[in-house]
Order: sequence, then structure tokens, then C-alpha cells
Amino acid sequence: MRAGSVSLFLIAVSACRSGAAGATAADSTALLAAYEQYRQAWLHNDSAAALGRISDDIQILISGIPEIVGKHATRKLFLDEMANYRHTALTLDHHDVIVSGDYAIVIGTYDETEEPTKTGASLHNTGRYMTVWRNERGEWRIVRYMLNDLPAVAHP
Amino acid sequence: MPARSYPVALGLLLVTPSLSRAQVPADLRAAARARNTAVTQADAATWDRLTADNFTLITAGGKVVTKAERLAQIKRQQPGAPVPLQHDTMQVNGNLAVQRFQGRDIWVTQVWGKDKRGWRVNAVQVTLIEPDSAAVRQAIDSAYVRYNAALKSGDAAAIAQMYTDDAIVMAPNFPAWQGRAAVNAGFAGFFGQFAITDVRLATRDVIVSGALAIEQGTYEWTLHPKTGADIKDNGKYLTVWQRQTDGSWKIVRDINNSDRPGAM
Repeated sequence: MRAGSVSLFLIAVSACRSGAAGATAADSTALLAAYEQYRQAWLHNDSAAALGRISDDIQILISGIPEIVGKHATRKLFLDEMANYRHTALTLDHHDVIVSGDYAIVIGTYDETEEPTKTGASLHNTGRYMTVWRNERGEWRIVRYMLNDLPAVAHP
Repeated sequence: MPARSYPVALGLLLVTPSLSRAQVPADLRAAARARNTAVTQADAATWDRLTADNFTLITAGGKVVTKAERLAQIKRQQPGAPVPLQHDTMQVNGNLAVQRFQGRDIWVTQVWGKDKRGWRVNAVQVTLIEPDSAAVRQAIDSAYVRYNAALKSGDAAAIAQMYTDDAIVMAPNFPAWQGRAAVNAGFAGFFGQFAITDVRLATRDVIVSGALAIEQGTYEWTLHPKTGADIKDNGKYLTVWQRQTDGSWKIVRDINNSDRPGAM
């Protein structure tokens, strides 16, 4: 998977099989709303909205590169990504949610397509994620997220 | 002002009668002792007798449990060793009493009421004591000593014991391993392909929230395949630990990836 790909918007409201211990319905609703806002931000190339769902002490953990730490580095990553690619399709599946206090841990899989803004073929990425959200004064924001690759699919 | 606070404090004491142990009615003391023993001994009959029909328990996780649900849990549980209660206090006001005590890692507040059937518990609220982050870090460090040793010896069963029954492990390029048995099988399969002679895991930071600890760290290791050249790899991981009822910490969610482009 290309480092810094859209996997950055790994979040969407799809089937959510929640194992949310201690989660209230309001927690789950607010968390899923935050997911959707983040997803829409990427679909509309809205870096400000995407960064609005990112905590100041974010750590982004993508395959192939060392961790990206902090809002400043994340802003650069998002701006570069949005300048070079437009995200056209995304399917995400949240497999599991755990809520504990002000934190929520979500795991799932993603499938995305993105088009280069200049030249080149479209890219199709799939993979897996674990995202840690924190409720910051009523707003859910991402503090950690990690992606990795699914097993290769054998084609007959 | 300190000088004015004394009368106020004294007033609070007067309107909130707090009885010493000797002042708690003998029948209430006996009921409290018997009910606590019933919980640890899984004595459902005694627990039932000392619990009001409209009883509710609010767990540390915020779940509301009815008497029928709690009774079913007690019937399923195995008798255990008694947990010493600390800071056990009882405030009695007529036919109502509020008991508060500390267990291993929880505070418990329970409300007693007296009717013609005697003293019975109407409500219990459990509050988790947030673990000290330094203690959690120490527990994780200690766990990794065992984890590293198991990695080097290729002991999948020992590693699997460090995961919860419902753990999910997402190693790159492998299907997710769900549950301890799958974790065991997954590591056994991995050790069938690779041996690991040197490995270094380094915790970068830990976020503690209730019974969970979210750890981010880095790894370096050398894999020795059954055939072919050694593979040196380094990367990062995100691991969620969950505190167990015995106070230990086990892994409930685990994901990692390599810093090397195109690596595992």
C-alpha cells in the first residue's frame, strides 16, 4: 500500500458491530457522526474539516514509513495527499468498537479508490485499521491510527 | 477561611450520622458479613435472601444489572477466595444504610433497606479506580519480558496466554486472529516458518482509560526463515491491554506494521 494514501480517511459509517463495553447510545451516535464528517471531508478534499477530527497529539502509523506525530506533520500529510489525489470511492467496515471512558477503539477494513489530480492511473487500496478516538470536550477526535495490509488474494 | 470551616464541618457530621462499627446494628453487621461471603462463595441462596427484589447493580462499565441477571451470574461463578474489604464504612439512618468499601481495584457503594424480612441490599454502584499509569507501564514492561522470551523460544502457547479470550490480532498479511485459540494457532504457524533470535520491543507511550491501556511502541527483530536469508525488520505497533479481574493485564487488540516499504 502506498504510504500516505487515503487510507487516511479510513473511516465511514458502515456496518458497526459494536462490542462497546460501557458505551452509551449517545457515545456511539456521536462517534459514528464524527466518522462520517471525517469521511466527507476527504471526499470533498476539505483539509480543514479533516484536521478538525484530528487531536493535537495525533500519531499516524502507516506501513512503510516511521510514525507521523503531531498536528503540524499531519496537516502537511493531508495537504500533500489532497493536492495529489482525489478520493472517488470508499468502502469501510467497522468490525468492532470498544469504548472505555473518553476513548474508543475501532477496528475494521477499508477499500478505496483514488484518482491522481494530474496524470496517471487510478489507485485501488485495501487494508485494515485500528483507530483510537478521544472525546475532547464533547467532540470525538482521532489520537492514534494504524493501518496494515490484508493477506494477498490468490487469483485463479 | 479555615477558621470558619470548622463549624460547617461539624454541622455536616451532625446531619449525616456516621456510626462507628460498634454503633452499626448487630443484625445489619451480620447481614453485611453474610452477603459479602455469599458473593465470594457463589452462595446464590444467601445472596438472594439478602437482596431486595427491585435490586439494581450499576457496573464499573455503566451497565445496569437486575437482580435476576446478577443472581444468574452468581450461580454460574465458582467460589473464590475472599477479597479483603478496605475502608469499609456504614452510615445508618433509621431503616436505611449506606455501605461503602474498597475492593482490589473498585469502590463499591451499596444501599441497605430494612423491612419485615430484615436488612437487604436495594442498590449497588461499582466505580473503577483508575490505575496508576506508572504501575500500568511497569506491568506492561514486565509482560514484555515474558513475551520476548516466548518469541525467542517459539512458544506460541505462552504468547497466547498473554491475550484475552476475545483478543483480536491483526498482523500484516495474515488473516485476523480472533480469540486466544486462533492467536495460539497463528503464532504456531508463524513459528513454523520463522525463528526469532533477536527482538526488541520498545514502548513509546501508554494511554490509560479505565480498564484499558492503549500502548504505542516500536519493534526490531530478525527473522530466520526455514529456507533463505535472514530478514531484518523494524516497525511499530498499537496494542490495547485490558486489566483482568485478578489485576493482571492482557492484550485485547493488537496491530502492527513495518517501517520498511514492501516489508511484512
